[in-house]
Amino acid sequence: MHPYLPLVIYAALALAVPVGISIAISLITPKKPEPSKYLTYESGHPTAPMLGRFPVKFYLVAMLFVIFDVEAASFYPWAVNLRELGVFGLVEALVFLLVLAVGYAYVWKKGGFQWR
Amino acid sequence: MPIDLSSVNPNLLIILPPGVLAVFALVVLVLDLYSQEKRWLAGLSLVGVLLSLVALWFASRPGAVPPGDYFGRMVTADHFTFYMVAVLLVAAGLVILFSMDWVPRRLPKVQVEYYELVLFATLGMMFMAASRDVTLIYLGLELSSQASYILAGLLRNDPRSNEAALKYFLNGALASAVLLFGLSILYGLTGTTYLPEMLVALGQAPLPLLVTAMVFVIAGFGFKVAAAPFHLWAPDAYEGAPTPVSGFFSMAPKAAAWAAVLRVFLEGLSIPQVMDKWSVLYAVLSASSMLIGNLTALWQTNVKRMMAYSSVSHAGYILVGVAAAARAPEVGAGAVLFYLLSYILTNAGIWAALVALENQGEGTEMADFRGLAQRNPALAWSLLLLFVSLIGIPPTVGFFGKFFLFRAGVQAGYVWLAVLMAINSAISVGYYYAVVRNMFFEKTEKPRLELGSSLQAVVALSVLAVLVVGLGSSPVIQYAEAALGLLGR
Repeated sequence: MHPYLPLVIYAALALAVPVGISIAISLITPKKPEPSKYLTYESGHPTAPMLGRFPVKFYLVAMLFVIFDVEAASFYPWAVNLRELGVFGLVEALVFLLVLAVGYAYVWKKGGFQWR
Repeated sequence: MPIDLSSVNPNLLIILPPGVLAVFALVVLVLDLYSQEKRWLAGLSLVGVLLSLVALWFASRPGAVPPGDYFGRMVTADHFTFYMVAVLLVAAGLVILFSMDWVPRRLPKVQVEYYELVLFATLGMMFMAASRDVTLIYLGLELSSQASYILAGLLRNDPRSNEAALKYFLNGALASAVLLFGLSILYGLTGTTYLPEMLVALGQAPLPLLVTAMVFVIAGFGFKVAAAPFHLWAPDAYEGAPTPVSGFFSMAPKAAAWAAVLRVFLEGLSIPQVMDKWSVLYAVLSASSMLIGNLTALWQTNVKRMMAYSSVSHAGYILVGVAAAARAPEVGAGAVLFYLLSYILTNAGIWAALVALENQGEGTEMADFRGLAQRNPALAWSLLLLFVSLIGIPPTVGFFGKFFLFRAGVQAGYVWLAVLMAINSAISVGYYYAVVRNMFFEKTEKPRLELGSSLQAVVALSVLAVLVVGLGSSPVIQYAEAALGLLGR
């Protein structure tokens, strides 16, 4: 077996799943067309023409979400390998969590989560 | 009292200096949230840097940490690491010291963030200099770069600071991408990110692909050290960024990037087939940096901008040593390491003078230096000595730095490059003299320029170091040349 074969299979699966879901949705879902369903829609916020100004708060919240989401995602590989990594892994994860918590406290205290 | 360290895990000992710095960075960050008075946190950051230096001295004593790789081959214990980490910590300490009066005046709302970012940037640079694994070198580079981008834009209401941050960010991100692309090809060719193993595996790699990767890596690092023709971001970033930040940029990040260059090229890419190629490429970059940097600096009217071009030309001088290191590794790398130290020690005093001018609400134009000898004779004479060191006239440290580079160039057969360096040193007299002429031969009505104790300390340390390290250069250069001997070749 070629060493890159699993990568090819993985890529094919990664492509097949979203495409498959999209096709399945278009086949299965009941279709009741209604004009309001076809309006563009963004995060509960009715969209204005995008040429205008846009509150920077959305950007800030989105960025904070991405940061903490990526941090959370990096715990999955640790959880999978928890037994092999042992105490060393636990300490490493705690250090990582500590740094993350300091960042979280900083953002909170500085008002990063306030929607003024 | 001798302390027995044989029972301590060397893994923890070698990580102690960056560990101390990281702990202080986090503690300062948390204390910032709960304290109204911010000034003492600057002092605490400085204490962190000093304690990190103490930890380094502790870890670098013979026998404390046997030479080798630690933390899963990520962190290297050798003279090179110890030397460069010490240089970076000295630079960070000087920067924090000369910012202490400036920051509360110009950045009242983000005072502690300033020191934070300097500490985190320094942390990244320490790992850049301390690793033989390109993944950690790259991560360290990113940590220091991200912090630097924010530092450049800290004056949020000043459009020029915004411009500087944006230009630095866009160029830096591009440079990182280019560098990473080159490193990824190297990884594809050899299957390892660990430089000594890469060196062994490179023998079987196809040469055209190897040269492609090498060119990308050179271009990526070229951006980071602002070597011509990759220097175009530097003048704008230096001029627009807050003055102490520009001083920081000209000292620490460049030194760390040079350390990474030496590591990657001398430990990873030092097989004969490519050594000649990168040596010649670096020689060409060196010649162009020296000429472009010096000739453009002659026309500048803003001293910060002039210092930016001056740092491009100094990158050119350092490149003489890098090019020479391909043929005479110990001498070349030793000269580069020594020059980094000399450049940082000299620059600290000059940037402290610029910060002092801004502290009194003045600018950094050439005209602002008029009559400085009247306003503060001690500062003017100190600056004269520091410029003499940058030009490379004995008995200053700058002369010895250039002398070692010159010797390395001649030993490696780059006589034309060494001669070009001497000619360029003569050209550089022109623009440094412009500042000196303004200081001594122009009259002014302005009041006396007061420095404040922390700025006085930086200027005094800088002048003292320029003379002491210059006249006592032999142990330093011996240590620097021995640094490469331990690289495990």
